[in-house]
Amino acid sequence: MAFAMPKPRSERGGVRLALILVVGAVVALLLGTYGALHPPAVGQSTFKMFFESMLAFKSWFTTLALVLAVTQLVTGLRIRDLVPWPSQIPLWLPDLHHLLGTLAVLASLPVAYHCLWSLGFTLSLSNPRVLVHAVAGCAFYGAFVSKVLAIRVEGVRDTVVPVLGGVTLALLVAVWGSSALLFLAGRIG
Amino acid sequence: MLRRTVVLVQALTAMITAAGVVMLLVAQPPPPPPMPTSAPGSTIDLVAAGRPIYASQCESCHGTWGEGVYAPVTIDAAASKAKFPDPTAEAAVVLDGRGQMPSFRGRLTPEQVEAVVAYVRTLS
Repeated sequence: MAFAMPKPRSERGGVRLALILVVGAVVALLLGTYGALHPPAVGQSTFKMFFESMLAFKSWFTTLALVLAVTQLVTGLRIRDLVPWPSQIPLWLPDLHHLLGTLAVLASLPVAYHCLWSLGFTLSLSNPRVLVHAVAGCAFYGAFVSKVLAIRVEGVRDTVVPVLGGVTLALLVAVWGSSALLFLAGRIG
Repeated sequence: MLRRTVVLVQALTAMITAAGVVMLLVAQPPPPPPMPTSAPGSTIDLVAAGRPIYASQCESCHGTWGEGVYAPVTIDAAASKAKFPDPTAEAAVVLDGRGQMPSFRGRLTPEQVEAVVAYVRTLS
């Protein structure tokens, strides 16, 4: 009588991790494909609230997202005992960590909407700033989706989530550095 | 209390994301204004026809008077004419795009491009 041997835990974790990364890559590709195929509504603002221009709105919201994400990184480091302060980890710190990450993504959504709808995705090597910004912007949401999925999957959670969180933050820094930073520094706008 | 707030914010984010995806798929950019038709024997005022096209398609980047919302994309009629003595060369840039500027091929008709180039060549 033959028994089907259960797959080792590490192998199952590898398959799950691969699936999670594929889903994230698909999300990033879908965003880029939409941006490339959708005729850009050039000249059309979406909403800029009380800001004087669309660029100011987007730059400050991207900056807000980055500040929230960096704060989330600090809380994440404390949860994993990688920084010593505060001396006792408050019970509410993990909830705050989740809230900061969610708010960071929430702040980024109207920015991404304008980028995709009004500007689109251009794979133009003649303008490296735009290329880096477009690729990092799409990859940011892909990495975020992978991270959110990894949180819910046993076997990869402890090892993969911090890495994906770091990648997501790095991509957000790339997005911010290739747009909002230049606007706030007066290089564009 | 904080956990409930997290759940609420996550639900709100999910709903806004879903609404954003739907709007991306449904919302179409407004079409450029139509070209005025010429009466038999009259001449279309290209510059006048180009102004609303410029306002709807170009102004957000190039500014109302060509002053440039993005620093490098100012428009100056004298510079444009020096760079593109032939307006069709400037029209090719509008149609094919260059650098940061997207292509308007398929979004503007050749007549509309001709009109907007005529208008741009009056900016200074």
